[in-house]
Amino acid sequence: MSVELMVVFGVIAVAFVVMYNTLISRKNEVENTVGGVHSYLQKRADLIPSLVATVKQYAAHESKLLTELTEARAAVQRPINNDGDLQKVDTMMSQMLGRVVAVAENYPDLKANENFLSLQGSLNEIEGQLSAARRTYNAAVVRYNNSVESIPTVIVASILGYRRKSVFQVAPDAVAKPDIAKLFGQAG
Amino acid sequence: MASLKELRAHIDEIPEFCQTELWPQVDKFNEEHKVDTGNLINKLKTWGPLVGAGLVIIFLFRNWQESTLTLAMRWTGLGAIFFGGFHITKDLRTVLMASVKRAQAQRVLVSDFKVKIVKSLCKTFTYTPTNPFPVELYKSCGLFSPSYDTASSEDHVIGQLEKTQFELQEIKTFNKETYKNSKGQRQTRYIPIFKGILFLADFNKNFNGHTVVKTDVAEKSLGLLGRSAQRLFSATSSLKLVELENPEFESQFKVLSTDPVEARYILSPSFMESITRLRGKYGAGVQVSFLNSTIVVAIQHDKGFMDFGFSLDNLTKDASKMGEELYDILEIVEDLGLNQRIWNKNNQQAGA
Repeated sequence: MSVELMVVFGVIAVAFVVMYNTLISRKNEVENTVGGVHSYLQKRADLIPSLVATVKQYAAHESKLLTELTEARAAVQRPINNDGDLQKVDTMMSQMLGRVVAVAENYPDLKANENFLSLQGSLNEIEGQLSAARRTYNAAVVRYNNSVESIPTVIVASILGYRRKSVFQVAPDAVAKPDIAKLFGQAG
Repeated sequence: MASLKELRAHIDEIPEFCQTELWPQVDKFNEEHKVDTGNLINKLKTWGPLVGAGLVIIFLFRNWQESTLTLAMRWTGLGAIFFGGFHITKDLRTVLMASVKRAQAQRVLVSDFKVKIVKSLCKTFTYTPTNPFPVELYKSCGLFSPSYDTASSEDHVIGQLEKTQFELQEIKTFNKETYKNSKGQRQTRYIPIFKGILFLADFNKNFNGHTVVKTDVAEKSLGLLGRSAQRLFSATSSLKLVELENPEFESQFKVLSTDPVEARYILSPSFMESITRLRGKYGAGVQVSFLNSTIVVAIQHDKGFMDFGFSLDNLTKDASKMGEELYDILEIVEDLGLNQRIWNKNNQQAGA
C-alpha cells in the first residue's frame, strides 16, 4: 500500500472517530437531559400526597380528581424507557395539576390555606425548574438532530442507526384556557 | 419597606425638601465659611497696577540688547513686581487658605446632604459616601477579570424595595501600565477596567450554582467561529457556555453557567426579554451575574453617579438629579420583576 493511500485512510479513520465521538456525546447529552426532566417530574410528583391531603380537607367531593392525581403520580414513579413516554407522563401530570388548581378556585378556604399556598409556591418553583429542564432537553435534541442530519455526520449516524429525536412540545390542552365548569363536571 | 411608587413621590418632593431642610443649612454654611475677598480687592486696586507695570516693563525689555539701561529697566520691573506682590501676597494667601477650607467643609456638607436626601426618599435606606471596595463580590461575580491594580468605591446605598433587599455602589477599577514616551522617559498610566454601578439584590428564585450573562464580543465580531471558540474555551472552565433560544438575547449576550438547567431556570423566556430591555435602557455595558441566590447587575457608567456640582447654587437641581439617578437604578427591581414571589423562596421542600 502506498504512503498516499495510507494517509487518506488515516484521515478517513480520524474523521470517522471524531464524528462517531461527536454523535455519541450528543446522544449521551440527550439521555442526560432526559434524566434531568424525569428527576424534576418525580420531584413534582413527590408533592402530590401533601396536595391530596390538603385538598381532601376542604374539597372531599373531588375524590375522583384526587384518585386520578394519585394514579398520575404512580405513572411518574415507574421507570421511563423512552422520550415519548416522558412527554406523555409530563403532559398528563401537568393537566391533572392544572385541574386541581382550577378546582381550588371554587373553595375559598382551600385557596387561603397556608399549606395549600405553600404547595402552590413549591409547584410553581418546580414547574419553573421543569420548564428549564425541558428547554435543556430541547437544546440537547436540537444539537443531536443537527449532527444526525448534517453532512458528513449523517453518514456515521445512518451506520449507527441514529434517528432524529422529537423535542418537547406543549400539548394543546395545556395551553388552552381551562373551562372551569367543564372541569367541575369531570371532577364531580 | 418602600415601593417604587412611594419613591417616585418622594423624588418629586425633593425641591420642597431642599427648600425647607437644606437651603437654611447652605445659608448658615455660607455665613460661617465666607471667603472675605474685600482686602485682597483693595490691595489689588492699590498694588495691582504696580505689578502690572513691572510685568509690562519686563516684557518690553526682554529682547533688548544688553546695556546698562536694559538691565536697569529689568531690575526696575522686577522690583515693581516684588514690591507690589509683597503687599498682595498676604491677602491672597488668606483668601486661598479660606477657599481650601471652605471646599473641604463643602465636601462634608454635601455628603451630609446626600445622606439626608436618601433618608428623605426612604427612612430605611442607608447611604454611605465612601465604602470599602467590595473585593469579594468583584472577584467572585465572574463579570470582570479578577486582577486589578487600583480600585475605589463610593456612593453606597443599602435598602429594601418591597420584598427585595438591595445594595448598590459606584465602583472604579484600573490596571496600571508603564510605558516609555517619545523622549524615552518611563511614564505610568491607568487603564480603566470598569467604571460604573454594581447593583446587588436578593433574587426571587432559589439557586445553588453560578450563572453569568456577559456581553457577547466574540460572536458579534467573529460569528459562528466566535461561538465555536467560546464553546472550546468554556469546555475547560467550570462555567460552561449555555446556548439559549432567544435569538435577540443570544446576539447580545453569552451565558456561562455551572449548571445549564439552572441557567435556564433563572433565564426564563420572559426574563431574557427583561434583560434585553435592560440593555436597551442602560446601554451595551450591562452584564448580569447570578450567585448564591442573588443577582448582580453591572452597569457601565462613565459619567459620575449621584454627584453634586462644585457650586452650592445648584443644590436643588443636583439633589433632584441625584434622586433621579438613584431611581433609575432601583427601577431594575421592577424591570426584572424581582418583587414577584410566586415561587417558595427559602422553602426547603421545593429546594433548588
